[in-house]
Amino acid sequence: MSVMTKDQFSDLVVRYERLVYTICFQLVRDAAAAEDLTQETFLSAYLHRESIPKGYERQWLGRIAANKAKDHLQSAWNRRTVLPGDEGIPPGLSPPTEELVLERAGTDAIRAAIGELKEPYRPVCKLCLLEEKSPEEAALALGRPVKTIHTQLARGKRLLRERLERSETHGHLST
Amino acid sequence: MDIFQHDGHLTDEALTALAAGESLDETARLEIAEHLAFCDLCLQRYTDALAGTELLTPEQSCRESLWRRIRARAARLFLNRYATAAAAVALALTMLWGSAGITLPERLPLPEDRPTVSDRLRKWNESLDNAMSGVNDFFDGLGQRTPPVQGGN
Repeated sequence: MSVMTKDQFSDLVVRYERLVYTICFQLVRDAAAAEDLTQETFLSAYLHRESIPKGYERQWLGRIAANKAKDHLQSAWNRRTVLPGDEGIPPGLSPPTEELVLERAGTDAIRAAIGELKEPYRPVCKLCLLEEKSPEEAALALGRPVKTIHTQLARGKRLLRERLERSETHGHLST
Repeated sequence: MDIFQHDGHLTDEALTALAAGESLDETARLEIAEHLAFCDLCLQRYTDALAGTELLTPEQSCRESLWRRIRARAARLFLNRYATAAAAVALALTMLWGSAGITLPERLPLPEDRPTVSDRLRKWNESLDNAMSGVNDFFDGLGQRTPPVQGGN
């Protein structure tokens, strides 16, 4: 595969800048952040320009833009939801409160709570918490990246904690 | 609104809402971005949906600043390599002279026409300077390039 020349890359930027900006903006809903992410997208594309699939530039740039937007939203979400002291917790592990609630709850309660979770959390929690698969095994089974499984598992555990705590308060699981 | 189908892919409703610029909450957008980051099928559906809409135009185009960043990155990379190579040469020379001092009691006189280590270093320096100025000329040329007419999908 021949490496794209600078002129060809410039043409690519001109042709797809609006598409990349639109994807970034629709996902992050912030014009300034979307402009930064658009630039980040093209910088990444330039650094990996030897792997641009000919004829699929639109999808390839769309994938990078979605990844950049995901990282931006993920760090904003973490900043808002991670409590001081939780920053050092390895990915995939939940804060102690989540783990405590899950340890305290019985298997049946956890199974019922997992059954009520929606996509994309239900299959991840089912595999990792009920079937005791590793995130790597779950990633393989679900066709998702391992990193995504880690974040979905962490978020899934948080949802489970909320449901289990609610059921402890009200005596039943609610949707 | 359901974001995901039972098979794990994004619903038409969610993709349509996203492509139409309708407001989705932040968690929904994060879940969608996470899915689009690895699912070829849904990414294709999304970009197809965007093809039928008016794309947004950024207030400031990234083209100028992008080339500035690429140029700065290339220069930094080049200087890092230069510094690494220089450190490697300095280390090699130190070791060479050190070991020569131990094993060779007397240095053999070099013939007049034989290139010395300092000659070679000087030539190597000159070739690196030439290469660096070539890189700068190249990026200067890029900066002066006239941007083509905006369009595309």
